[in-house]
Amino acid sequence: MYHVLVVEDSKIAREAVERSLDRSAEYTLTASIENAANAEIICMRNRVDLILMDICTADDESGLDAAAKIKKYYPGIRIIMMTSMPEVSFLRKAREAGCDSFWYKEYGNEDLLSVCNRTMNGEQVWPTEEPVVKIGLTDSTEFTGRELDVIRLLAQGCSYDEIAEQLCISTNTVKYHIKNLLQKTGYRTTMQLVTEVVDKRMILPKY
Amino acid sequence: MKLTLRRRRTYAKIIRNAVNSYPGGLAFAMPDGRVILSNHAMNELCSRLTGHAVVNVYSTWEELREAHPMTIPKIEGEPEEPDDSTSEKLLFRIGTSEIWQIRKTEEEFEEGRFLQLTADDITESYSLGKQIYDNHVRLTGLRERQRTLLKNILQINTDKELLQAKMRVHDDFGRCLIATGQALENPDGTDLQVLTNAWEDAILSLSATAGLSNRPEKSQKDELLKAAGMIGCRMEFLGVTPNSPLFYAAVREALTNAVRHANADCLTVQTEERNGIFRVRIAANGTAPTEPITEGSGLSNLRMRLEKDGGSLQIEYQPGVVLCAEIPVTP
Repeated sequence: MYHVLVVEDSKIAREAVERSLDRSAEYTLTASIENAANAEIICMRNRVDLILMDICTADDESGLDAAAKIKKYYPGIRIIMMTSMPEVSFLRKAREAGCDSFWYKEYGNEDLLSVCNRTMNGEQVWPTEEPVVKIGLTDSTEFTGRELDVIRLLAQGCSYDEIAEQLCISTNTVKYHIKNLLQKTGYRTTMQLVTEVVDKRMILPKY
Repeated sequence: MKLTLRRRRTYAKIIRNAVNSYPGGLAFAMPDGRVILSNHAMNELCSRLTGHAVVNVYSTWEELREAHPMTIPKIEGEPEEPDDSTSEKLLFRIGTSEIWQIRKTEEEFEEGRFLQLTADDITESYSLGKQIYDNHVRLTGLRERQRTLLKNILQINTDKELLQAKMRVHDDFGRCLIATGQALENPDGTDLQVLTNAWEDAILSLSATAGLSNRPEKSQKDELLKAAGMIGCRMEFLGVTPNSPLFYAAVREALTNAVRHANADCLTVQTEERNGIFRVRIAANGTAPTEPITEGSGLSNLRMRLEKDGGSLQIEYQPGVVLCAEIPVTP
């Protein structure tokens, strides 16, 4: 019997996850919470074998930060990250945080219980590809890593000079990336580009 | 001697002509302000602004100061001009379009000192500078709007989705009520199965809406109390608790450290608000540390988050560890 902690701020999603776990006698629920920052506290003196962790949780607390802390103190706990956001950096950040598996709530076609079973059997279950979002005339997969860095900093409200400083490149190189981004997407201004990218949850500046 | 005097007069005349032919204003004066030489342009400009030509540079400068000079637009963050305490400048609009700059400086020449007054027509450079300033103000406004928009965009979208869902539920129930009313008035002409299906759809639609809100069901405090209770730690809150994620981050950090390192089972959180700043003291029971604690990544991250928002963090020993934080909270 595995003891599971569910971290999910949407009531419907949380109930759906709990129903999935109910289908198997292998799992029992330790607790269901909305805020990822409280997960570490529960792990301190409760048996938790598996955490199903949403990334964007209540009060803007990040499931990725919480997962990294839990893995540091309790490396034996398996963590499956869950999200419905097509944010392009989430897969990489989840790997960096040491998570065991990753499940897209809306984009993947694998059942959550199957991901749980495979994870508890020692497998690491990761999506083979990230969700594709249409941004203007192009797809989210067409952006280079550097272009995504530039959009992310634009979305945080940075000026060209601030972006150049943070990425250790010249302001002219920032302008070059922005010119390419506008050409690819067909937008006239960076404001249109950033609004679309944030609106479609391809980049979430708070996470 | 006569020849020398004539020559000196000739030289003086040449100098006067040269100075008068200079398109800008130019005047030289003794250190006490008495004018040695002032050209036509400077006298004409001063006459327009003060009513008379330059007589004494100091008195003329005081009169110019009171002749309504223009303020010089300054872009925030732009590097200052090199500090030159002996130099002052004033800007004037002459007529409808010309902008003149008058500058007073102290100069040294062959171990002597003198005052110099210069006036330049800076209409073009002022106009370009004004354009840069206006563009800067416009861009600053745009960037501020962009920051606000980005901050709110996710919430705006969620609110939009909620509103659409509410409208859909309203429409579904409205249609069902009208159909039910008609069915009651004319029971024979109604397909009851269709009506029942319509009500079931409306109820299903309402159930789906119930989970749409992204606002937490539990307050930050309730869930933290629940988590603390699950590890056997009691928490006491004395004073008003700010509804700030930073406050709860500080309490969580103190709680995990106290339980992990001091085996605590009670945490006391005292708060006091003054001028929008919450002073928070978090103390725990348990075993006191035998030596000062080293700040790990948790405390360092908390300190960084607090300082980024204008707050602060201090660790005190009493003899247990007390975490003291100042947290600015905007209403």
